[in-house]
Amino acid sequence: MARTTADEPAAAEKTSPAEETEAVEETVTAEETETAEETETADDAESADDAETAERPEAAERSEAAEPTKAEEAAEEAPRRRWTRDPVLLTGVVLVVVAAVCAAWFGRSWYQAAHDDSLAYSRDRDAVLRAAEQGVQNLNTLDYRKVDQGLTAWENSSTGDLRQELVSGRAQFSTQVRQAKTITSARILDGAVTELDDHAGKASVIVAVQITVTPPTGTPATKQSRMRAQLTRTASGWKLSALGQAPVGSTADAG
Amino acid sequence: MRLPRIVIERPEPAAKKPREPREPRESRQIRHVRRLPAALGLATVLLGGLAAWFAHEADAVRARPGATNVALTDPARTSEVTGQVTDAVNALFSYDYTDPAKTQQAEDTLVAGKATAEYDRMLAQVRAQGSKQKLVLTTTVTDSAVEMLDGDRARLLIFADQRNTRTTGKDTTYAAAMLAVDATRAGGTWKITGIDTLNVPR
Repeated sequence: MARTTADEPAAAEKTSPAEETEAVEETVTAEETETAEETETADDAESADDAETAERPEAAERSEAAEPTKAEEAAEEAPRRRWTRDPVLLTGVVLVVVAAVCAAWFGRSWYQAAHDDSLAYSRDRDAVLRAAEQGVQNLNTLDYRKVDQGLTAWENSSTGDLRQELVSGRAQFSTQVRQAKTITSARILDGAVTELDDHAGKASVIVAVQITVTPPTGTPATKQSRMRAQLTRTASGWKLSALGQAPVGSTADAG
Repeated sequence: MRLPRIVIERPEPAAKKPREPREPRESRQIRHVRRLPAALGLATVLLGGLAAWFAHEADAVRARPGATNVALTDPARTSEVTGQVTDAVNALFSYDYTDPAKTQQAEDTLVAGKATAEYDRMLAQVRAQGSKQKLVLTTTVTDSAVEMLDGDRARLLIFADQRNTRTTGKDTTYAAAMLAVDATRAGGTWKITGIDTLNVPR
């Protein structure tokens, strides 16, 4: 389809009669038309008459067109008029061009957005915060009735030294929790990323969390806790590599 | 333009057989005239659809929640707001019974909007008993992180140590504090416009 539009004006430029432009459509290939065209314009009207005897109907038509030399001048204008003066076609061409420009513009816009370092960094930052909050939540949640499930979640949220620590202490901790019959739950109050090195895949996050420990008897104890977390990027996302409470009174010496 | 010529030529080729394709040619011509706008229309729709899709994808990337948050992505701004808010919190939550005007001055210059009422509520007890108990309260921010930074608005999570000395009793206590503050930048200075003590109803 695009070829028809492209070929047409091209053929028009070559002082060919209107019918010849038609031939572009009729002929099997564009090349064929080109050669036929050249020979014809080179020859005079006589040879065009000879061509009339040609077997191919297209050739016959072209030769016929070559006959009225007066009409040729006028015919020169005709193909151009066809799309530049026809309001429908002109509108169509303009719309296609506008649509193409829009597509190119927004395509470029998308590409730039997708490769924007700053946007990529902010995506990492938000991913780090989500992972940190989920990790802190997981590591402060444990139900003695579902210890194995809980401790597996701990291990899945951690990596590196922290994970090593959790794995090695698992059996002992599991026994303690089962005996104490406590249910610990956590609620994230707030969190924010303090540092992010997205090339090294390291990040630091602080999280404010409310931890509730429910003993088998008595009232649940709730405390607010200030957590400092370190995260490391792994093949399966950001995971906690260190977790601890921000110490209280650490500034005692300062005053 | 073409039509009169065709009429003139008709008698001559009418005698010859090869002239017969003329009718199909004209119908082809009509088809062509109709087909071209259709092709252009189709191309417009396809390209337009493509443009819409690209625009949607670009927008999805840029308008993602958090995309306008430049916390950390703009290190200079992040550092500026962190530094100023840290200093502000240190000054606002420190109190010396020998110089209560200093704390009051901090409030006047660093607190604005709805944070004023919350701050006054928090400081009420200190102000009431400060001189009687010879109270010296020193707040030191230990951790701070920018949660959100968008233009002239920011939210920070802050951990602080509070050293509380009552000179009368010679005892010093430490308290852990955590709070989130909203800050607004005006005239090159960040002011505290919201204080969230993160107290959740049990």
